[in-house]
This record gives sequence, C-alpha cells and structure tokens, in this order.
Amino acid sequence: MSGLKKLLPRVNKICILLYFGGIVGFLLLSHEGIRENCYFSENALLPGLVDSKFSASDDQIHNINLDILDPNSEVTDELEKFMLRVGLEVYRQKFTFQEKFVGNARIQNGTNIYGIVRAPRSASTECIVINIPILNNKHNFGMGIVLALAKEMRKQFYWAKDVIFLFTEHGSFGARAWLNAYHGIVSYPVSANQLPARAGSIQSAFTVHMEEDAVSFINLLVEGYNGQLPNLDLFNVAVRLIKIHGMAVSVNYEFVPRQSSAMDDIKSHLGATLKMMKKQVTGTSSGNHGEFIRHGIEAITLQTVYNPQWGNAGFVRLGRVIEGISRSLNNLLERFHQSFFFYILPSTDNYISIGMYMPPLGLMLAAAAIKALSLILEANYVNSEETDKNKETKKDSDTKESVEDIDDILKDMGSDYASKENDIKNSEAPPLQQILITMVTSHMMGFLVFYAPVFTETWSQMFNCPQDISITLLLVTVHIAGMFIITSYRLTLEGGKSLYVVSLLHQGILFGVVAIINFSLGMFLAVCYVLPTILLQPGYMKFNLLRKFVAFLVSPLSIAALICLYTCNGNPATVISEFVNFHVTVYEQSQTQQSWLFDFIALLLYPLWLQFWAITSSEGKILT
Amino acid sequence: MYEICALFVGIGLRMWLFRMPRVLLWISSRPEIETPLTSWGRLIEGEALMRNSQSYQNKHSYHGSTLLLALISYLNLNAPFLVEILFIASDVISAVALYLFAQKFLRKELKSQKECKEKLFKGVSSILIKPEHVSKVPTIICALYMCNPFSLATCISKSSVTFNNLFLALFLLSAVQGSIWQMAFYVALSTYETLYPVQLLLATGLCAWKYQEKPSTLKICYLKSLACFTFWMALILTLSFLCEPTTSSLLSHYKFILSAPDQTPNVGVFWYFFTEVFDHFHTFFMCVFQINVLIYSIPMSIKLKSHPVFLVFMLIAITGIFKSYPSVGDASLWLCLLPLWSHTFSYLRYPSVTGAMLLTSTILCPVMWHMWINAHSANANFYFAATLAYTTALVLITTDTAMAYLNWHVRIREGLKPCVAGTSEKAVLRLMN
Repeated sequence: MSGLKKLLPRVNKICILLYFGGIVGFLLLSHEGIRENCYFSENALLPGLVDSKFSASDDQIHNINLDILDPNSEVTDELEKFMLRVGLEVYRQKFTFQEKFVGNARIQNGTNIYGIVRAPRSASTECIVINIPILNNKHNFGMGIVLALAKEMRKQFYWAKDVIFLFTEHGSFGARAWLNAYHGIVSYPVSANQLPARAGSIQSAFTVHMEEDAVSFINLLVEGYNGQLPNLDLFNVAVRLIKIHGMAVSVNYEFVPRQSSAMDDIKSHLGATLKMMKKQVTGTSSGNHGEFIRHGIEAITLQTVYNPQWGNAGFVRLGRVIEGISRSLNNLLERFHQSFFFYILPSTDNYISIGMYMPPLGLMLAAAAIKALSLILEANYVNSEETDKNKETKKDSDTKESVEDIDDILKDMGSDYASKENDIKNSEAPPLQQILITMVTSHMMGFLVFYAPVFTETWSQMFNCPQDISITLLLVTVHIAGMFIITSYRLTLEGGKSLYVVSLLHQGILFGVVAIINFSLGMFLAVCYVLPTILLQPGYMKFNLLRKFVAFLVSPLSIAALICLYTCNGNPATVISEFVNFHVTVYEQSQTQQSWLFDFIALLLYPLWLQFWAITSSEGKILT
Repeated sequence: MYEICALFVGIGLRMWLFRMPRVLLWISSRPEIETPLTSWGRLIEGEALMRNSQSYQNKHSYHGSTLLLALISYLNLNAPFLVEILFIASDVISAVALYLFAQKFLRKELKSQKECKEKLFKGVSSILIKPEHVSKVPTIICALYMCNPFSLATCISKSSVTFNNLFLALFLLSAVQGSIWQMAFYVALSTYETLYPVQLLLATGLCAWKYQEKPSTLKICYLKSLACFTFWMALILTLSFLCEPTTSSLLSHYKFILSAPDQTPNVGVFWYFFTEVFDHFHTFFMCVFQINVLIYSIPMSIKLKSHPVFLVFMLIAITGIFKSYPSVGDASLWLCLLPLWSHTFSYLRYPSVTGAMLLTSTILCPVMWHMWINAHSANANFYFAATLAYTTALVLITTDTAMAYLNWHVRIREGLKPCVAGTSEKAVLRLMN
C-alpha cells in the first residue's frame, strides 16, 4: 500500500511514459522481428497447383473488348448478347439509388447484368462471384478477359461451385442492389428489383477493376466498410497467384521493398501500414468488395495499374490469375474461417495480427485508466486520513456524543423530512448529480449534432447559401453551441474531478470497443486523445487557458480543420472548400455507404469530448 | 415529487421508444434481452399457432406459461393497443411497489435501529441509517427502475421478464407488510412463470416471522406460508389447466426451464457450456448447473435469518444471474435495489472496478455479437467472453454487497475500526455476525 502511495505523485510521468511506450510499440510493429510472414492456413485452397487452361490470346480478348465497348450500343445489351452466345444463363436487374444527399439530390437508375455458369459437378448449393464494375457506365477492360474465361468455363467439367459473372453499374450501389436482392434485404438508399435467378450461397467473391487496356501490376484492395477485412487467406491466394504468373503485386501501391538497411525497411513497411490504416479510419470501402464483406462474403478487389514505363504484362496473364483464383476458391470445402480476420498489412508478404497490434493500444488506454484509478485511490487516501484525524481529535468526546447523535437522528424519524432537508444547507450539488447532468446534456448535444443535417435545406433557404456550405455551418454551429451550453452549467472542483475520472474511464472503454470493430480508428483516436486528456486534470487554475486550448485542439471540429490543413498541402486558399468538402463527405458516406463514422462522431465522440471541455472550465484552486 | 417526475419520464421514454421502429427492431433482436423463454416474438408465434391450429399443444416455439399466452392472445385479439399499455403499466406498478417497499423497509430498519441502540457500539453514528436515507433512497430506486436502460429495453422489447419483475416487486412490498397470503400469492405467480422463485418460500417464512403484526413462531410462519403457497399454486395450475387441458403442456414449460434444450446465446452461462459438452455428460452437468442456482438459498437463509429482505435481495440476484435463460431484465430489478444498502456502501471493496466491469461487458456484448454474427470475423468465443465478463461482474457485485452488508453489521456492534490489541493493524474481517 505504501508503495502505491509513493507512486501516486508520479502517476503523470508513468502515464505519459505508457502513452509514448504505446506509440513506440506501434511504430515497431512493422519491424522484421514482429511482423509475420503470410502463410496459408486453409490447405484446401491449393493455390497454383492446377494447370492453367486459359487459352485465349491477347488479340481475342482485345476483340471481345472492342465488341462489347461498341459506342453505338449499350454495354449491358452487348454483354447480354455475348454471354447468351457463349451459353450462360443471363439475367438483368434494375435498381434505383440516391447518390447525393446534400445539394443535387435525385434518384438515379441503374442496371446489373449477370451470367451464371452452372457447376456440372454439383447441385447449385454454393457459388463464387466474379464482379466486374462497369466503370463510368461504359468500360472496364476486365470484361474481355472475364468473358473469355466464361466461354472456356462452360466447357470445363471440374467446376464444383456455380460461377456468377456479375457486371454492376454505378460502383458500389450496383453491387449492393444485387447483393441485397440476392439475400432478400432492403437497405436505404438503394432499392432493387427481385432477382430472376440465384445460385447457391455465395462462398467468396472478387472484383476485377481494369481501367486501361494494358496492365503493369496489380494493386490489391482489401478495406471493407467500418473496418471490416476479408480473410487473410483470400489475400494470400491472390498475392501468390499474381506472383506465380509473373506479375508485380502491391497493396495500397506499396511493393515489398528490396533488400535494404533495417531503417529503410521499417520505414517503407510502416508507410504501407499507415496508408492502409488511413483508408480504414474513414470507415468506407476501397472497392466493390466491401459490399460483399458486409454480407459475410470474403472478397477482394484486383485493381490493375498501367504505367507505360513498366511495360505491359498483357491480358493473358491477368486472365490466368483470375482463373487461378477461381479454381482455388472452387477447391474450398468450407467457408473461409482458418486464417486471420483481424490484421494490418505492412506489405503483400507480411501481416501484423491482432495479438501484436492490440498491446500498444492497450498501453495507451491503460495510461488513461491508470490516471483514473490513481485519482480514485488518492481520494480514498485523503478520506481515510481525514477520518483518522477526526477520530483522534474526537476520541474523548466521542463516547458521550454518539448516544446523543443517534437520538438526534432518530428524533427526526417519521416526522417531516422536508423541513429538515431545507435546514441542511447544501448549496453544492453532490458530484454524482453534476456528473449526471453534464453527461446527459453532452449526449443530448450529440443527438442534436446527429440530427442537425436534417435542417440543411431549411438553413440554405433561410440564409440563401448552397447546401454543402449550409450543412457545414449547421454542424459547426451546433458544435460551438454545445460548448457554450455545457459550460453554462458550472462544475465544482469536486464535481469536475469526479467527472474527470468518469470521463477517462468512458474514454478508455469507448476507444477500446472501437478498436475491436475498427482498429485503425481506435488507434487514431487514442493517439489524438489520450495524451491531452491525461493532462486535463482539474484542480489548479494556473494553466487554465493552456488547458482549454489543448482541449479545444482535440475537439472533433479542430481535428477536422487540422486534417484539412494537412491535406491541402500548404495551399491556404483551398482550406475552406476542403473543410466544407470534408463535412459533406463524412455525412454523405454515412448516408449512402452506411459508414458509421459520422454517427460515431456525433453520438459518442463529441459528447465525450464535451465532457472534457466541461472539465476544463470547472472551478479550481488558484495556485499562488 | 421527484419520484412522480421519474415515473413520468419513464413512461414518456417508453412511449417514445415504442414509436421508434428501428430501435425497437434492434432491441427485440438482442439475445441479451430476449431469451427463448421470454421473447415476445416467440409469444406471438405461439399465439398464431394456437389460433390457427385450434390446439394448445403447439409448443415448439413458445415455451412460456399458458396463462400469459392466453392473456396476451386475448388482448391482441380484442384490443392490441392495450398490450403496450400493459407493459408500461406493469413497469409503473413495479416502480411504485419498489418505492413503497423501500420506504416501509427503511423506516422499519430505522425503527429497529432506534429500539436496539443500547446494543450498538459507541461512536458509530456516522455509519448508521439516517432519516435522509429514508427520504432519498426510495426515490432513487423508483427513478432507477423507471429510467435505467436494462428495464427500458426489457419493457419495450415486450419481454415477459417485465411481469416476473412485477411479481417480485409486489412480493417485496408484501414482504415488509408481513402478509403471508399476499407473499405466497406473488411467489406462486412468479414460480408459475419462471420456476426458480420457488426458493423465495424460504424467505417468505422469515419475512412473515419478522414483519408480522401478531408475532408467532418461525415454524408456524413456515407452515402457514407453505400452505398458502400450495393453495395459490394449485389454484393457478388449475386455471392454467382449464386454459389448456393437458398435463403435458403444464410440464413442458418447466421441463424447458430445467433441461434448457434451446441453446440460443444469451447472457447466461448455460448455452456455451452445453453446446461444447459431450452428450453423455449432458445430464450430469445440467443437474450441477441447476443445483447451482438453488443451492445458495439454504446456507443463506440460515446466515441471513434475521435479515429476510436482504435474503430476498440475494436470492433474486443469484436467480437472475445463474438461471437457465437469464436476460438483462432479470438483473435490472436487483441492480435497482442496490441503493437500499447505501448505508453499507462505504464497506464495498471495489465498487469502481465492478462498476466499470459491468459497463464494459454490457457494451461489449452487442459489439461482440456484431463481430460474430454480422461481420463474420469473430466467433462464438468472443461473445461468450463478453457474457462471461458480464456474469462475473454481477457475481462480484452481489458478493461485494453481501460482504459490505455483513461487515456493516459487525461494525455497528464492534466499532468502526477494531484494533488488534497492541498493534495499529486493522483486524481482518471474518464473515461472522
């Protein structure tokens, strides 16, 4: 106990140490000794062990592409014609969706078209989906490859799962419309027609995204919505097959670095890790595969990149990669379940598993928890010391007093408590009440921020400004109004301290839970918030302005502004438009893609921050 | 005054939530709130089956009691809007009953404290029950019951736990009044509904013995309560039999509770264990788990002979934690009653830890469920870990409360800080009265 007592005054140092320990630990994750090499958990995949039967030549594929992309007719019609000619079952699906919510909000139409190759070896109980998004509503050069493959697949007898060739329009909206209809789900803002035909349950899927008619290397996209990721085995299969067929592969445009010094090695791996995490923080998906992952279907996007300096690897190789992946998936006996679902990728060959990346975060969150615990312990010691002192002074008089005390207490019994209550001059509300009032108010402000965008149109009509500016102004206004409302209820020193302890624990729990769902977001928040909040302890007025400044610096508003400052690359003229754009994007992504980022910030993060803001303006002792 | 505000706030919140279909849908699908035994969805299904097949024996999906099904189906058929009102009303009645109970109980405690003040140690006035306890605690309990998220969720998910809580709240109220007839009635109703409250019979005799107007011996109290209970139980079972004239239907409800065949995940400890355990150990471990729920009642009724209300509290808590189909609604009742022991709170050993643990595990449950069922990236172990943490937190809270309660009783008799002669060390507390 006395050891603990000695540690108490140093708790700030310990917490800061833990915080930086966490950051250093995180940075070291990409080190050779900590990151692990990817390996196959699922033996059934057998990647690359089958002979490639893909026999179409570059010219043939090019001709198919020319046919399909005939400027005189609709792509979907051409696709339908071709697939019917090859002998697939072909179906269409129409859907409507709303792409924009701020400003030009209108309902758009789209068509999905899909062909099914029925497996000759089984009843249609399982299937694989190969998704080809029709880019900009006209082209995707992957279509030629995939159709050539479909033509050959028809004649092959070893397919055990149905293969669906799915051509979707309007990016993720088409994929979502199709998947919703496939599973009988309705999700706003997409409404889709029923599907005329289905195959079995979808085991796995991948998306081919080819914008140019040549390919230098393949970039793999893995990030799904709200921090979801596909099973690592699927990623491994793609990497392995691309390499086998002699193409370069990258993830987030980062290649496996060549042999270099340890420092360079760590730098490049760390860069790739951060790039991936940056994408995950936003809670949106990097491609159509996100829609599949949302439905519990493991999926990945192969995005081809063409750089004339690097040369062209040709359609045929890509075709063989696609064939190889399909055949590996065809070999699967069960759903993907073996390998990791929680990982970060420092390169295509390495991964960092949840067991490695959680401890650094744990250290940072422990810093906040230890700070809170130390305050509780401190309060306990102060209490026990005070009672000890009281006891010593009272010792003699106590024996006489106590009997009278009880009598006093008991006299009041049964009679009017109310009058007695008034006598007890309790000018200060108890800490619990203050905590409750502040927390309820802050969460109500959170609700206001959440519902503020509903009034976008009214606001823009009232002040005669475009809708994207009006939504930004609305959010900023409510944000700032919340700051004033919360400080209008002044906390006492005691109340401030209690709220501080509660808020620290609240923060720890919140960030920990977020990190389980979306590690990158949890880590980002922990890095931003833990250190400032540890330093916000109420008590002394000396650095009050500084503390307020620090607290304001980590408000959701300032963080948004800082991010915009960072992204505008020193071009201050664009900061404002960037800032407006940021708000609009975050809100629209929550509406159209069901990303939870806006909801999370409005309903959970902002109220938490408001509590800390309230703490900075609680009463304090004046230190002389 | 505050309690009336709390009541209205609670009613308003419930009515507001009943009007939010998305929230309602989400809450009604939570395994922490809905169990196979209490779920509204299953009740509706049972009702539909009953109506369409004209036979009462379709019990494949519905496992609750027959009378509840009869009542709900009658209401649903004749006045569907009354169903929501029924649920809100039963919560309001529970809250009022708990308020009155807490007030009566604390007044009696204060009175008995006054009566035996000679026995108290000198200088312990700081930890005694004070009049402001009597004035504040009932209001807090009422407000907690009306506004805490557990009972809110239970009410708007239309889980039948709401009624069980109502019976238990009324039982508590009749317990401090010492009326055997009423107590036995509510125990019988609750037993009919969920079986486990039968162990409250042990407390019924003690409550009657302690709180009756005309004092009688403990033996007579027990005999009386047993007789009353038998009478009520027989009456209820007869009614139930008249509703559904087969014996198998009567028994299937209890069989479902005792053999726990439906292993849909919930916050309890049964489902995970019995999905994992080998079949030939199934019966043995089922017995162990069921005995675990009931066994504590005997030692505790011996230990807490002179504190029957605390005994009731502990029994409700233990049943709510360990029963075969627990939900957060079961915990909401006794968690709301915690302020009753606020005078002993200074003896809690780790309230902040247990509080944080309960909060964290409650939040983790839906998150882990999402990761397991929706996101497909976690598995059953994740969810089970969260529910195990939840159960552990509740167990720690009960044991901590019991320790604090007993500790307080030692302290008021032996002084605030008994010192071991010659040293300044604190005496180690032993669990003795």
